[in-house]
Amino acid sequence: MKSKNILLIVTLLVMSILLSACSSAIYASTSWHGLTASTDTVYLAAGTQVYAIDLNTGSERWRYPPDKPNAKGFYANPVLTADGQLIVAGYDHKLYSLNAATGTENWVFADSSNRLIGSPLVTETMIYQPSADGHLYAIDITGKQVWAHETGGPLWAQPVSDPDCACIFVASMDHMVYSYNAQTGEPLWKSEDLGGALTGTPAYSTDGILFIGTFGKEMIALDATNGQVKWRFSTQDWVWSGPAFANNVLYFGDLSGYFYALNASDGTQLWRIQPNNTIVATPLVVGDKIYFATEADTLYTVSTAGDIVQSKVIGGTLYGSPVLAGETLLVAPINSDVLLVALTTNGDQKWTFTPAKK
Amino acid sequence: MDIWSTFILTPMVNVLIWIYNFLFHNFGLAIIFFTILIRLITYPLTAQQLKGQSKMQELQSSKKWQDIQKKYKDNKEKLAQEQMNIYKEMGINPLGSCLPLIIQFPIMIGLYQSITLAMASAPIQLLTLSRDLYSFIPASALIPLNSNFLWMNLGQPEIANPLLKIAGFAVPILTIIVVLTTYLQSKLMTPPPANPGDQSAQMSKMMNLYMPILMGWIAYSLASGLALYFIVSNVLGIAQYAIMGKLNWSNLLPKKKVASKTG
Repeated sequence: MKSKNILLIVTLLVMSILLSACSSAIYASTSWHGLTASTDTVYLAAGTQVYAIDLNTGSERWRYPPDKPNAKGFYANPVLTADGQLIVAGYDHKLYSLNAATGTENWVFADSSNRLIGSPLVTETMIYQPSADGHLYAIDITGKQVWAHETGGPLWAQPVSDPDCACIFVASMDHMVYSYNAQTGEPLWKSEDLGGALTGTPAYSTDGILFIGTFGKEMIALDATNGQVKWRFSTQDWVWSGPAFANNVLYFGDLSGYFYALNASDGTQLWRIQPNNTIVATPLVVGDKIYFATEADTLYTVSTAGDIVQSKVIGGTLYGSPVLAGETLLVAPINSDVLLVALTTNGDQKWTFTPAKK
Repeated sequence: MDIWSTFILTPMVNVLIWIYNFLFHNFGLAIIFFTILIRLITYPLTAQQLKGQSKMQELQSSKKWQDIQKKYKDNKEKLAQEQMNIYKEMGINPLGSCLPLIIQFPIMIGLYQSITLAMASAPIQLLTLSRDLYSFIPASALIPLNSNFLWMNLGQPEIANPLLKIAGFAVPILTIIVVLTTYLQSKLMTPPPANPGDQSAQMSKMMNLYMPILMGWIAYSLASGLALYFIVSNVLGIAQYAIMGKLNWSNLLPKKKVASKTG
């Protein structure tokens, strides 16, 4: 009888593991890696750990947590403050301040009741952290909450600010953009329903226009003073990330793999290409070159006229934006043997980073 | 896209979101309605399973069956051979009651997955969902789904937003209901054993004990939307058996305990 019981328990255990695996495979905290860089260090939020990596050599300087990995994970782009903090958002609902030089923990903000998927906006004195619980948390640089406001949906996008009017703008998945007074948190305006969820950081032009891509298959320009729609441009598919804005031109991709250049003044299309596969991330504009990654595994370099100058196969899956640090171009693939690839601006590989096992 | 996604997961997630669109954009109601729908679709399998179960029970309480159990109790090989002969004679498939249950298992997994995928609480899930939606789903207007239902966020474990806290500890109300309804379902739907002391009766007894714990653990640790599904599914299962007149209320009575002890 005992052996029958053992068999039954083993069967149930296997079943429970199977059920959990089936469910958690989908439910798991899955995203792509976050990336930022200073003049000499790259900071990579690579799921269970945050790594500080020497920009010149690709060697690891420190990792956080130093011992046991954080099971929930870090995925948002970390952000550096002027006083040497590295602010890292966690899927464990917590916002961490680390010493950027050593990786030691300064403080932890734990008031969010859901995941922190988007990166914080950091100003000289404040940190604005969006949360999937729908709140925008304004925290001072010592980690104390100053104000918080709830929108009608999860917040996945990094906010943007306009220092001239001391305004904060945040795009919500409830299809609206919200504006708050940066100091007091006083709500200034909210836009109309823009027809689809908003997960990208709006681009902001100094003449007071916000540009935001939507799941309603549109790029929309809003008047930053009152949230009124100025123009709309229809895309082929959902626009996941915000556009890059340079020289009055907007550059962005959609999930069908189209890459667009629009006149920012009136939303007219300048050109459109479809290199291959889904485009999720915001492109990087450097001079007359535009860098963007496609899901398939390739980093493209395009001229401002829309000609593909170069395509570099990185490997893995590319969802994150490329980052430029000095003369080094950084790309963080997922589903790859390496966590980070460093290239010259011409696309030649400098180094790759794979963490040593500890 | 793999076979599993094409034929199970994608259709299920689309139906679920389609229901959500009609049920006031309430994901809790959508899960309840969807579970009812799945129960209706799998009704023939459940009926077949019950039929097989009844036949088997009838057989096991027959004199012929009892006789060979006694006769070959020391010869397992011969016993198995004789049992197979009786199955053949009476036209019973010994797997007849298990097979429909096994077929339902992937449907159950597909249901879990479609609920978690539809809630798309992380970027890669949402990207996956964006590709899985059929063109008749007004995805732009619906995404993200409103996952709030009663006091819960259906995309998160219940204890992330507890309704009740006692001495600082979150009380997992849904988990408790899952455990209770799973236990009730197991007890009420287990047919009375032909021989309370035999191995299959003991196995059933153990299942009745372990299954609620297992389901409770899953309900506690995963998204509360799944716990809601378990509860609705359990209640519907009990109701379905009640309508078919197959509920075994005697299993809940204390006298059975005495019977099993003596067996």
